[in-house]
Amino acid sequence: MTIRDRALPALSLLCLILFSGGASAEGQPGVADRHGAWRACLHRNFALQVALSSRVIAADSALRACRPSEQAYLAALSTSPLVDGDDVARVRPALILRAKGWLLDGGASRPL
Amino acid sequence: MRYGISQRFPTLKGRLAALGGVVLLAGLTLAPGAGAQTLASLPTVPSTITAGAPARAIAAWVDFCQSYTAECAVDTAEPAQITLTPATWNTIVSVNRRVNKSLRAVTDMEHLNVADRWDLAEDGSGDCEDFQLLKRKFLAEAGLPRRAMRMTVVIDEKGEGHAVLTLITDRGDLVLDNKTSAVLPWRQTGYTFIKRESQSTVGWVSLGRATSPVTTANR
Repeated sequence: MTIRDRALPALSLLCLILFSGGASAEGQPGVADRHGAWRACLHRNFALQVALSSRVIAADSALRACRPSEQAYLAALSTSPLVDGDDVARVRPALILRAKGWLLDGGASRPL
Repeated sequence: MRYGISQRFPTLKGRLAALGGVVLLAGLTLAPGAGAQTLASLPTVPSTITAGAPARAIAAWVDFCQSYTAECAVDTAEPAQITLTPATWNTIVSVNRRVNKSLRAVTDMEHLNVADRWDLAEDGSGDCEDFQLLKRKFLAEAGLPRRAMRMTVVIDEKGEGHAVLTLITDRGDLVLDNKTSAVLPWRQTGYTFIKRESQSTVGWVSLGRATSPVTTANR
């Protein structure tokens, strides 16, 4: 087996990872991907923090820790066809409140 | 094999007339079948979304309004609210269901290679806003006041912008959606409401921080 023989499947796998999973046509993560990343970050951080503090404090802490992924999501959302930057700025408090509610109820009653 | 409406009815007028005929026929013959959902099942206490300040219009909507002026016109002499009767309710449920079943859902990028375009799904395919615009056209033709049927932008369960049609009724604000054929009170959609067409002028108004608390349309 040559290096090329092994490289080809690896390259295929890399392409599959890079170009699949709901990424936009340009290969950039789409709004849903960014939203999913924010949600995953919140979930992960909340799970860590809740072992050390109350649920409310853990939720606030997770929201703070995940600010970069939140900003990435909101930036993507603001460039999507139906929503602009003004809309995002106006609705952000509602989205944060929703995210907090989602963390506090464990995602039982509604998705983020 | 896809066999769209466009292949069977080559002209726009023919396609819309055919689809309208199907919808009307469905309304006349299948209305009881739409009966999984009844007027009585709506909440007894009407809930409405509070509209706020003017909001920036969507670029593709502006283009749509230039091509389909009558679809965007606001007649302030029309009632601002739909009075729901069993007959009106059956028409709404039937149109919603038939349009959802008749059109093929496809993104504008896949369909037309553009990010966003609003139209009446003349070729039998379209994305979320096209479904709702066609529903409004049929409902207006059935006699419902266009002014009480407002295109609305929400954030959906995937965190993306999504277009639905809000019917402002005496039983509260109801949402028509291409993701579900259930006609839902806005609070039951689970969506975050962003903005909708104004009822007083050709433009959009913000819906502030309106977030519906319960999610049922998780598709």
